[in-house]
Amino acid sequence: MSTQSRISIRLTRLGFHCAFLGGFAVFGGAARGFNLLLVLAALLIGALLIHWRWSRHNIASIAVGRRLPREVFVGQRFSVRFQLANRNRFLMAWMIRLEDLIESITGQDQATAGCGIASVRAGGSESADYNCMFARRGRYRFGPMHLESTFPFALFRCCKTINEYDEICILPELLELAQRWEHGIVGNRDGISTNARRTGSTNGELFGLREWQNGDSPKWIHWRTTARLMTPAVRQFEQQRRFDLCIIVDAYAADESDEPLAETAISLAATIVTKLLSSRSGRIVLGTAGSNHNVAVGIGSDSDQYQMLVLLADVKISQNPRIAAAVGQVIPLAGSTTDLIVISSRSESDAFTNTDGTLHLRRQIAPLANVRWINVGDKDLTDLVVARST
Amino acid sequence: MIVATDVRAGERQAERVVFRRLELYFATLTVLGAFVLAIGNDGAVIPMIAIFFAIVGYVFVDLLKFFSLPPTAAYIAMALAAVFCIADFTDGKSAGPRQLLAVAHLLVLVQAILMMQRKSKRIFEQLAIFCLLELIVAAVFNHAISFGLLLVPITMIAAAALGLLAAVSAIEPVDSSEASLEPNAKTNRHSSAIMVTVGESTRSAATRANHYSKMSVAIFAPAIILVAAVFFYALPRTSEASRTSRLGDAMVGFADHVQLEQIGQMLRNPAIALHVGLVDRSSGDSYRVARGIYLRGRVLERYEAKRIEDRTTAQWNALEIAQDVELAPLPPEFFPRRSTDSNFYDTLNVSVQRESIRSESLFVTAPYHRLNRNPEIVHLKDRWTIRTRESGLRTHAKMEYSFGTNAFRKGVQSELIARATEDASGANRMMQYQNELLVFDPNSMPSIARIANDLTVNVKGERRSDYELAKSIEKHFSTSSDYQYSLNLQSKSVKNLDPIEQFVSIDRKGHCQYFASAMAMMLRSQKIPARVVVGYHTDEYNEWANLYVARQLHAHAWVEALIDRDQLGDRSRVYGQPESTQYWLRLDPTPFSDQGPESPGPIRQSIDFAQTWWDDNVIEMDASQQQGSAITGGIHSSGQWHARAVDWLSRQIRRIQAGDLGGGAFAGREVTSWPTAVTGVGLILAILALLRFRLAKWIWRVPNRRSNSTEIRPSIGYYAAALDELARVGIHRRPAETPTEFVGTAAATMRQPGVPSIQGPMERLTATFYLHRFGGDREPDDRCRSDSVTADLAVIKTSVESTLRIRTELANQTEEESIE
Repeated sequence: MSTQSRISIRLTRLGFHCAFLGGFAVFGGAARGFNLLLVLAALLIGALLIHWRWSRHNIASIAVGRRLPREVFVGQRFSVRFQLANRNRFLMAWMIRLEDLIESITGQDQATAGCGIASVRAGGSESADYNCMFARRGRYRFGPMHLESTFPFALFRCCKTINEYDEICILPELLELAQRWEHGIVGNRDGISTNARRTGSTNGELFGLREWQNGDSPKWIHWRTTARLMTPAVRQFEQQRRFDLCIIVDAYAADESDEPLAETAISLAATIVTKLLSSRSGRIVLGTAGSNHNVAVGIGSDSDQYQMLVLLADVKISQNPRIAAAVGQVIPLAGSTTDLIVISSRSESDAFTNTDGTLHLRRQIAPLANVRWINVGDKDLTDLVVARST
Repeated sequence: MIVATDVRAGERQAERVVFRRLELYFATLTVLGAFVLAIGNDGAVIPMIAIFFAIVGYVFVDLLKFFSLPPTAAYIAMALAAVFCIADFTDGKSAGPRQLLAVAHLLVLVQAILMMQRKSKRIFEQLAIFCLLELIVAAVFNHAISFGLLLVPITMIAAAALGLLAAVSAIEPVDSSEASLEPNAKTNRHSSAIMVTVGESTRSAATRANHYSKMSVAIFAPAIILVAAVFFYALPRTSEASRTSRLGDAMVGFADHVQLEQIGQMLRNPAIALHVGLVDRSSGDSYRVARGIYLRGRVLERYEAKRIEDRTTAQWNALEIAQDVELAPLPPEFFPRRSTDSNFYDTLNVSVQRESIRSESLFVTAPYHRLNRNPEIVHLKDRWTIRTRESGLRTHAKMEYSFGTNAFRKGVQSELIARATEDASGANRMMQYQNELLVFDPNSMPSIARIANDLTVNVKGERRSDYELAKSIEKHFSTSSDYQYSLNLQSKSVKNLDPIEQFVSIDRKGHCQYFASAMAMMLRSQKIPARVVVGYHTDEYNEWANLYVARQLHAHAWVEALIDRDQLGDRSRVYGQPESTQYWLRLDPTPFSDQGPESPGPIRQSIDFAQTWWDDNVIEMDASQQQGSAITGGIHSSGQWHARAVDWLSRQIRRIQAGDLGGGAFAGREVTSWPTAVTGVGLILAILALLRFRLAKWIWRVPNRRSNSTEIRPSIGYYAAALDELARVGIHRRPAETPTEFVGTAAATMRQPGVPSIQGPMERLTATFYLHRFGGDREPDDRCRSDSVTADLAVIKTSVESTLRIRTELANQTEEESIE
């Protein structure tokens, strides 16, 4: 992160006109003895001089810091916040404009956002914000920031460019899942609904009480029952470990027109991952196959969930996704007994026809107990997702 | 994608409020700019055009949005207006008021067209520029105080409007190409995948923009006025002020030939001719007079009646003088032999500021004496008048001069002036002059001679002395109901009848010049030398400036009779003047009139004062004013503060140069010299600069160093171990950084190809750390750390080692390359 900044002051269009007319008035007034012309010139020069000095102070004394939200999904409106600190202890800063360049890492998308700040009191700080919304997932860079002010007379424009950059990962859009979506992804319900009882943790529902055992935390003791039984009793919780699942995202698009389908596949994967991991009790192995392949394992924590969403955000859609490599990396982590769901923008047969290393893929998938291929271009999607209103 | 129409509507609403205010400001500026143009001009149509289009533009174009002129149509209309207005330039004559009027019309028309257009920032800027152009044009031909008075609201409104314009730049949306308010906004590289809208801070700024624009006027106006004043008064002038060199405003009258009707014409003109300051030398206070001041300008001795077409008129002429004999410097101050004589007169310092005039006359109260030598002013001995040495010019510029006088006692001006005594040759010339003052033709003025003869004896039948006779003639005119003061001289001239004879015998009404002429002739008919004096008689006192004001309508003519001392009776003792055998007796035969000038009220006085200040300090500022060298020096009117400031500064510099600063405390002798002083000041500045920067850095550095040294080490073992690992690659948690924030920083720093990501492990470790640190869970000791913590620490360690390995490899590679 670099925060080098440079300040530039230049005349605005109006300032240039005023300077020209001021010069004319000076020479005209001095040469011909028209003192009223000199009065006008003096006022113009006074305004230009004061504005020049003031605008420099107005910008130079301001330090800016940007604060981005941690987790942003496609289509989600969020605020980018700034903290402006006025380092000058005597003079207030007024009417500042802050512009921020937003650019995707790939250079595909670019925009400039801006916000106005009425004032920053001397030695104090002020917050500013603008709202932002992304229609495409991926990584975006914010910066450099550009502070400028033409206050108070619009004669000079003082600018400061602050080379401070921040990066944000825009996560795939989340879809609205249908009511019985679980049935849609895995045929064998037992595979994703095994319960495990344990004692203690707050992550679960109260199942019952049992006798004290060595190693139990004193916090788990149910004091009323202990008093009644005259022997220590602890609370027993049920943690739902409902699934062990392996998901492969096949980000395939033959051409640009297929890209929305591939995006839907990625969004569906993101939605399922978010839904399953939000209960904090499952284990998911996620593999992505695009122009590159990647794998992540999640056991239900927020960070795991975020990591998987980032993985999905980084998927690059390809005409020849590396699905075989992804499967090859996932199976050793998940085991052959785990359910495998492939979410793709094409049918299974198309995938086996068009993929390089078809034989290898078949060989990899063959030992798996339960494989489910979801083609988002097919009616499979309607079983899983509520149709979006246009 | 969300369509944020409601959000945009909100931000547009706030911006529209600012725009409404801007539209109102610029409509007002349009009207005021046109008024400034119209004041110095005869073009009454100019403000009418401006007012009409400003109101129509603001109401129908800006507020109601009924219509607006498209840009193309506006350009065509401007071109047509230009062609229409510059037609006046094609007549081949040199630039003059007509051309300026054409320019004024063009500016107002273009502003009117701009008012008919839909407003944008560019249109507002153009309106501002055209308003400035109007001021520039008006500044060329408008010297009235009204320009200055209108300049104040124009400047204030323009400053507030520009402040709002600057605020609009701060709050305008980036995608303003979509905004109707700014059709020419910069093109934004806006992608459809990224949508941005302004936030709450921008809306808040829009609501406060108007307030801040007004505040900026209040805050910056004093600074701008200070800079402007310094610039205006410090700018070296190389040319004469345009007003001084102009011929149009010069006063007339008081030449060597004064027509009988001339004073009457002047009496209708309220323009200010003189400002007279009287200061009592003993107390230093302003001196107030009881019955007005007689300021003599010219003395006219020869009466001449002549026939012009079908009417007879007359004029008074000044006698030719021998310049080498009659002209002299102002006389020195008179000091009486007996000190007690000074109790019977007041010694005053008189300063006079005379407007430009078409004669070399200066105006004084006689007797007078010089305060300082001024070779530019000469004294006409036997006339007791002064004038500029330079004569024959068509116009004499505005001038300031001063003199001393003993002519007043307790506010009353003395009626006697001692005639200067001369040697034998001078006496002969004085006698000749005296004879000229006795020229009278009894045949052409029989009534005058008859009335004068009737007045030579008093009620007892005794012959009156010259003094008594003069006073009785004065009384005859001033108190008799037979004569009437009038400026309306509609009576028809009687053929072959002297105008004065007609005045006395038939009309019996006229102004001061008729009365003075008749009285002078009456005195001459009785062998008393008499002459007519023209000048000003004023008792108008400006309380603001502590000055007497003489306007053209205060122009006056009176008589001076030469009376032998023995004819004065018990008035022969005249104080404040040298003794003489003859005295000039002032006689004012003009009766009191209801038609005389009324004393102006306080408002009029304040406007006069402002106009005087404006003229002195702005309009007529030139090189001589800047140098603080008034023509005669010694004048201290309120209009010369800048001259006094320059004087004071010059004196201080001279004192410094003389080593006399601080009452001699800094007196140089051999030790202090200019090089030493400059070196000393330079050294002090250098030390201050050194202290300013070094000290500041040192002051800032100390707490920083201290803050770095007090890095907090967490008490929980595994988290401390993780931080220790990261410290190996130079990643430290800052004191103000929360563990969650640190995760992002550390992960971003460690992110590079070939290095396992520490994002997940660090987040898990941090979550566990929070649980143990703040959640009340007991911290596990090192022997029974959970597997996940151990695994995460292992991942972090692996990442750190990978980073170190990569760095080493890179370093080796760089070293090898440098060796090669």
